[in-house]
Amino acid sequence: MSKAQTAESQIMLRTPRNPFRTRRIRPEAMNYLFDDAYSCSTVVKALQQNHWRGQIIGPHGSGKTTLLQALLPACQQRDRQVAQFSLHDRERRLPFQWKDATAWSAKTLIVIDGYEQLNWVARSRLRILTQQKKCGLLVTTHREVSLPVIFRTSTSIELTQKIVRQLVSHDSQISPADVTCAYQQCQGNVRETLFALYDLYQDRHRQTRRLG
Amino acid sequence: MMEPLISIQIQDDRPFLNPGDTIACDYQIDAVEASDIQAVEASVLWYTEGKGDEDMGVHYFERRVPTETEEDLRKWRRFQTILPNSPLSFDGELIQIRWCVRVRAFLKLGKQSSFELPFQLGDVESPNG
Repeated sequence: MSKAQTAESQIMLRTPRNPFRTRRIRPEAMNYLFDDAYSCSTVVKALQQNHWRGQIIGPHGSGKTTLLQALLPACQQRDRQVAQFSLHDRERRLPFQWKDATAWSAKTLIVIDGYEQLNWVARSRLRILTQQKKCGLLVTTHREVSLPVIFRTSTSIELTQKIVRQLVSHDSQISPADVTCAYQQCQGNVRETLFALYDLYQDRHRQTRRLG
Repeated sequence: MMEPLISIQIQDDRPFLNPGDTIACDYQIDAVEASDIQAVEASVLWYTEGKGDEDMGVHYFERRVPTETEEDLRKWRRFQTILPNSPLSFDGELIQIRWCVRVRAFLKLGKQSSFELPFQLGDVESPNG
């Protein structure tokens, strides 16, 4: 074994990496799992048919941001210039200056993650401005807004099991029953389920170390 | 184009390094034509892992591009740097702090390849025992 591999093994033995760590489960790191009827290209096609205006709607933790991350490269391939903004808790205003909108054009696609958090004035202003500039507007939201629905995200135990299978190795201490239990406790919120499985993995690993 | 093989060695046999120690690293790139490499970056950095937001910091960084005096970036290259006082490696329940030496090769056609060699800074006992 080379020196490099030895060094790797030493640190790995001491701290096995939790498969549910942020680095693995953040939206940019995961693939959005479509059912058979849909793919990235069908969703982008639907958006294009609606003149690049649309909403992705779904409950908390159902993969809206993950889907968005999967769609954006496909939008860019179709000559869209993406300007993405993510709104966090209780962010009522857009994190940019309205004067910046002078650079928007018909090829610009404004993407707002967490659109429903904007206040009514900001939403109306954004809708009018994007219509004037003839640019696209793609948003994610928990509740329906006045844009065409291009995709509805939803969750299921089967989907969550599939996501977890992609994250954990065969010898993992997390079983399908654990996933089902966490999913039910988190009331169908997949993101919260993955957080709960992070904690469970840590607990199991700690117990194993005590016994060992 | 083949996937390049990146080798990194830390010139120290100890299981952990201490703040103020000099870390000396050798690295080499193989299984790729020299003309396919546009740049190579080597860094010593820390990053957090765990359940919450992530953070990172770069302690040492060098970028090499082909020049008249160094056309072939595949050859063994050594660099060294003095390790800082913090943050020390940490293995907590919610957060872990990891140190590593990372080498990234930037190839033609926008391809990239990277390899990380972890190491431990400090000998802080894990809160998990």
